[in-house]
Amino acid sequence: MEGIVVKNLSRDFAYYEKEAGMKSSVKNLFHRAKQIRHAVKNLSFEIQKGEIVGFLGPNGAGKTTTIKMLSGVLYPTSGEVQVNGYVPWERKKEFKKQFAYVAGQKSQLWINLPAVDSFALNKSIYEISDTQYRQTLGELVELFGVQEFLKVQVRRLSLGERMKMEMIAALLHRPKVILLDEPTIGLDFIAQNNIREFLKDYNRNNGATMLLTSHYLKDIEELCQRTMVISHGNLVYDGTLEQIQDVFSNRRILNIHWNSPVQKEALVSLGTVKSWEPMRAAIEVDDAAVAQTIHRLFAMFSVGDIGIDAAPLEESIARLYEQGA
Amino acid sequence: MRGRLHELKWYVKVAIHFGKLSLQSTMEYPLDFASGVCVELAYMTIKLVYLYVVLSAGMKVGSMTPDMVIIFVGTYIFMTGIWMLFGGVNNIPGQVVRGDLDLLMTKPGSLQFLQTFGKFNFALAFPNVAVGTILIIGGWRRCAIPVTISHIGVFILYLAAGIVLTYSFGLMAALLVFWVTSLNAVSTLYAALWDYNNMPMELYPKVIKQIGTFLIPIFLVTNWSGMAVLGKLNPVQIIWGITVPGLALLMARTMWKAGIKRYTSANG
Repeated sequence: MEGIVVKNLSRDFAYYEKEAGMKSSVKNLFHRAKQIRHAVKNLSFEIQKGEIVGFLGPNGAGKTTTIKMLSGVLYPTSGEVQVNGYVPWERKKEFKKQFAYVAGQKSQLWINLPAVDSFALNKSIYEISDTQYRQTLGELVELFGVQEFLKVQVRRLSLGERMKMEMIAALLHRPKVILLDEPTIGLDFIAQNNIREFLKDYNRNNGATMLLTSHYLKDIEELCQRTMVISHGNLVYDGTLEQIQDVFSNRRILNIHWNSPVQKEALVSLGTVKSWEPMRAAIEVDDAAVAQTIHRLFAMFSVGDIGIDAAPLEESIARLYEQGA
Repeated sequence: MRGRLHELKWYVKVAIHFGKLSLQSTMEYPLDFASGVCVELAYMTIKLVYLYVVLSAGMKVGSMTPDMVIIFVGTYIFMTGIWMLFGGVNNIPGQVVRGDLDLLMTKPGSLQFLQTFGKFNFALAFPNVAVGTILIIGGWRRCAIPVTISHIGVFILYLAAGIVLTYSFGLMAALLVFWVTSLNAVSTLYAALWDYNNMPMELYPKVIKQIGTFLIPIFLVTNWSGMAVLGKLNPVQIIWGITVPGLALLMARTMWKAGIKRYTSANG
């Protein structure tokens, strides 16, 4: 089957704890209490061929560990994974030729040489024909607009330019599955946008399956039809981003403009004042209390205009993260 | 058969590509290259001082004449260059600790090959290999060893065996990182063992010779090729010298597989 199937996937890491000070260092020489961190717990999901799925979660939630197991870098403690019909950690050559792993903080480029030298190496490793290499490289270079940087030493490129080159190196063999771990980390918004546009184009043109982790909600919002949220190794949500807001936030923000100045202190009894200026304010209230609060506002002040917004997506997601704790 | 041949061609092609990129990288920074060469030349001077003492004093080392000793010191320096050349092997501990094997693991082909032949350090290898080769040729001529196909063949055979051992021992020492994380002590110990070869093994007492031949066969790395052309290998040593590199390579491969299973990508 093409796509990704994950069943009851778990991964533990062993570690030791040490109290501060010399006494515990000496004690640790003779006995170390082994601790187990459950990085991923019993994770199950499926991703269809051609789908782009976002993987959200706070630091240490288990996103990267999951991606590393899907790419065969790590062995799981238990569970099953199939990526395009292959078990990743068996590391079969046919499997490796079908997928790419892009990590924002890892590099496969030869830093002292221009990126084009690393591309040529990948051509040899992936046994890409001359014609396909020329065609794919041409397309990718054009999509990213990096023609002028091809002959520049990688170490002299900006972070954004370097990331684009990393992406080209990873996609030269036209993978069917792409696992992206924070591909836009540290990039400015123009470079982030470029990468997002590129991934969309690549998915459209090649029907590639993509799983993407990112701390930038914008990446997930723009790229992914579906989002999975992981917290403390558990899958706590699988659906659309919009639904997260509907289901997991029972808070609303009232944005009010006054006809005459209103003191902040006069508003605190109505809800949580999120922002305040003499002529306008934003108050967060419970979903069920919206109508009543509006009523009270009109009764207490001279209201010029009022708008109701959902609570920010980040807050809904933060609630989800807390659920997994 | 055809598949195997294709695979072999792939390995050769990729290894050559790695070699070219390593050389190109080096050439981007000629001053780094020059400083690397200078450092190695400084170390080598110390090794050559021992040789100078032997030659000027006309000292025999066991049954070895000073001219014969030149071949052994030359082989030792040559093989030190080969050890330095395997940058990919020597980089393993740092890469494992930092979790830098991740992307390499996703590439087609043997990970051991991609890692260990992925980087060559020409700056450190070049002076050792060059001076080692000159000493071997010089010692060969002074000893008046006939330049025949059989002599050259047997020398190259045991030199190749020494290269396999250099790779395997270096790899096994580096792979200990999967079990002990900090390799400072292991590296120092390995370097000390290696330096036992800076003189022919005949210099050492019998018990050291036995240990260095059978228990930790470090003497096989640089002694066997010289002893073979000088007709000083007994039948057991001839067979042992061919067998051990194969066994060492097998052990290194087994250790690699076991180590990689413990790889935690800097998470554990």
